[in-house]
Amino acid sequence: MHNEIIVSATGIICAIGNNTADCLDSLLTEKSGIDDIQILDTVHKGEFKLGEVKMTNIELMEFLKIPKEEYSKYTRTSLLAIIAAKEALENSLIDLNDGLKTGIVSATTVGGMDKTENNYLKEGVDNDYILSHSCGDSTEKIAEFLGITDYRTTISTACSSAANAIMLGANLIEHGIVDRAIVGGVDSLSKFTLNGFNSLMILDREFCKPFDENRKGLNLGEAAGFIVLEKAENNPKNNLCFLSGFANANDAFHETASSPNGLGAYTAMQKAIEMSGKKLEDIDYVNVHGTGTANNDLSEGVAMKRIFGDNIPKFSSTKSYTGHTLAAAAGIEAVFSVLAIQNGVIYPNLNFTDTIVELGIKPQTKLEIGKTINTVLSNSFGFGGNSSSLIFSKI
Amino acid sequence: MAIYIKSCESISPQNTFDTEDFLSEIIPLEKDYYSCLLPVYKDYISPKLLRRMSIIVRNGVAASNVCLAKARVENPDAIILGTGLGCVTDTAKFLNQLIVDNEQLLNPTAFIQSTHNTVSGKIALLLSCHNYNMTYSQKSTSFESALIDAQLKFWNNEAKNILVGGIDEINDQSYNLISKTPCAKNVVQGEGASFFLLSNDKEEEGAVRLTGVETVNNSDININGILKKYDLKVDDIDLIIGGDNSENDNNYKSIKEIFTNSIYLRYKNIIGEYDTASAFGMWLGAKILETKTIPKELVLKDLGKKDIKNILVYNNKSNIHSIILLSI
Repeated sequence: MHNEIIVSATGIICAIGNNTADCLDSLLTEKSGIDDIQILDTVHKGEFKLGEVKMTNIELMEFLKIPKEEYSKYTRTSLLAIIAAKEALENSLIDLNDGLKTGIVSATTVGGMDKTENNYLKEGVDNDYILSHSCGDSTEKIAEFLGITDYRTTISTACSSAANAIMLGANLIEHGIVDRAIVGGVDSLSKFTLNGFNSLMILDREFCKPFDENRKGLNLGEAAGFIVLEKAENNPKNNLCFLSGFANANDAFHETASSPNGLGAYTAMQKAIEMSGKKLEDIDYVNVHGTGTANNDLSEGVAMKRIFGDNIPKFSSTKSYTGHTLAAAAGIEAVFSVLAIQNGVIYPNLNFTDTIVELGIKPQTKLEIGKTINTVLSNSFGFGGNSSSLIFSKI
Repeated sequence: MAIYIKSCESISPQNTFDTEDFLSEIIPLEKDYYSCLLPVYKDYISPKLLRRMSIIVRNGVAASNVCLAKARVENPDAIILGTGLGCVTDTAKFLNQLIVDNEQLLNPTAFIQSTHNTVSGKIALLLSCHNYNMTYSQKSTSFESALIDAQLKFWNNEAKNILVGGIDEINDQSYNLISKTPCAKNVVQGEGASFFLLSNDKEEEGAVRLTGVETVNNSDININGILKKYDLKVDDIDLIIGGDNSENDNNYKSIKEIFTNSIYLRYKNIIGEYDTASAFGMWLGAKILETKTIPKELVLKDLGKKDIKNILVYNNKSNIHSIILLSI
C-alpha cells in the first residue's frame, strides 16, 4: 500500500476551527478549543468542560444555506458531517461528473442522538427525529448534499470508528469498488455521551492532561473530520501525502478498558508500520489516542514502549485542543497528521507537567515548526477492544 | 476468488436456530411485531456470562458460537457485523434513565452495552480473538456492508475464515417509535441474528458460494449490468428471494418483471422487516441450496423448477437496493 493511495484533501470542523485553515492556525498558536459548556443543553453546565463547535444548529444550517422548511430533517451530527465533507470535496477539486466512482465512508457512534434525546418520550413533537436517529443518516445526508450516488457506508466501532472508515476507503479503492472516497467520521455532543462517560467516571472536570501522571480523565468534544483518498495512478489534482499503512486489531480484554500490556494497540501499530514498509526510526511523530484517562494513556504508552523500545518518536495528543471527539477523533487527527507533514510541524501536548512514573516517557510539550516530517503514525482505540492505527507519509 | 459459506445460523422469529428442520412449520405473528424465538441460551453460553448479557448480545454470541462450531473454526481471521439500529434496548434504558433522573447518578452498564460494536466486541472478547473487528451501521445495507468488507479481506489474502453477521433487535419502545414513521405503514416489524462463517477454502464438494454482493443507492438499478459482472444472465437465476413486505409490494414490481422465469420467494411475512433482514434472506438462500428444498409457505411464484443453482437475494428500501448472489 505504501504509495498507492494519495490523500488529496482535508475537511474539518471542531472546537478549534470550522475549517482546515482555522484549525491549523489554532494548533500553531496553541489555542485550545476546550471551554465551559456553551451550546449543549445539559444540567452539567458549569460542571464539565467540553470541546464544542461554537455554533448553534441554526447557525450551522444558515451557514449551509439549508431551506427553513427542511430544518427538522437535520441533526447536529449531520450538519457537522456535511460541513467537513463538503470542505474536503471542494479542496480536492474533484469533478463528480468525470465518470469516476466516488464513495463516502463515514463513521459515528451515536448518530442522531443529539436530536433523539430532546424529543424522546415527548408527545406532540415532529417525528423526523426517529428517521434521523440511525448511524447511517448523517452519511446519507452528506451523499444527498454533495450529490454522491456511488458506494456509501457507515462504521460504528466506538472511538476507533473514523480510522476504520479511512482503511475501508483505501480497500474499496484498491479493489475498484470506487475510484476515490471521502472518508472520516463525525459525532456531535449529546447528553447521552456526556452522561455516559460521566457514569464511567472518566471525565476530567478541568482541562484534560493526556499522558500526565496526574491525569484525571477526558474532556468530550464534537467534530467532523474527513480526508479524500485517491488512487495515485489516477493523478489526483491535489497530492498532500500518502496513506501508506493501516491496521485494525482487537484488544479482547474488557468491554471498556484497555489491557495492561496494550496488546490491541501494539498489534494495530505494529501491523500498520509493517504494511507501510517503513522502519521504526522512520516514524517522525505519533499522534497518540491519548484520551487523558488513567487506563488509555498507560496502556497506549506500554504498547509504544513495546514497539519502539527506548527510541519512542516525538508524540502528542491533540485531544488537549479538541477534546475526545469519539467517532470523529481519527478523522480530525488524520487531518492533523496530514497538516503535520505538509507544514513540518509537531504539535505540543497541552497541559502536560509530570511524566507518568510507571512509563517514564514524556510527550512533546513545545511546538516545533520548520521540521521535515516524513512519516506520522496516528492511533485510535475504543470500547469493545477496537484498536486501529494509520500511517501517513510524505510524497 | 470463490468464497464459500461453511456454516450459517439464524436466530429468528421462526424455528431456525441449531436445528435440522427447515421451516416445516411457520409460527404465526402473535402481537404487533415479530420477536425472536429465543434459544435456550445456557446450552450455548455459560450461565455466569449470560447473566450480564442483553438479548441482542446473547443472540449474537449464541449464533456465532454455533456457526463457528459447525464450521469447526475456533478463531476467525475477522469478525464483521452489520446492525441498523444497534443495541436499542440498552440505548433506550440509558436514555430513559437520563431523562427520568434528570442526568443524575446514572448506572454505566446500559451505556457500555449501548454502543453499536457491543456485539462484535463481545464475540471477540469471549473468543480471545485479537483479529480484525468491524461493525457497520448503514440502515438497510448494514449487513451488505459487512459482506463487502469480508470480500475485501479475502481478496487481500488477509483471511481464510471470516465470521459475518447481521443483527438487530426490537422491543415495545422501539416498535412504537418505528411505527410512527411513514415507511413503517402497513409493514410488520421484526428482528433477528443471522451469522455466517465464510471461507476461501472449499473443503467439501457442493459447498454454497457467495458469488457477489452489490448495493445501489439510486432508483436506476441495472440488473443486467450487475449480473454480467459475475458472468450471469437473467435466465441463470433460478430463484429470487425478495424483501417484499406484502404480496403486492410495489418496490419489488420491477424485479419480478425482469425475472419472469425464476421462482419467487419472500420471507418478511415470517420474520418482519428490519434493517438487517436481508441477512435472513441470505440464510434462507444458503439453506435452500444446501438442502435442495424450498419452504412452501414462502413461495409467491412457483415454476416447478427442481434444480436450483443460482439464487439472487434482493432488497429494496426507499430506493436503496441490495443484491446478494448465491450459487452451488
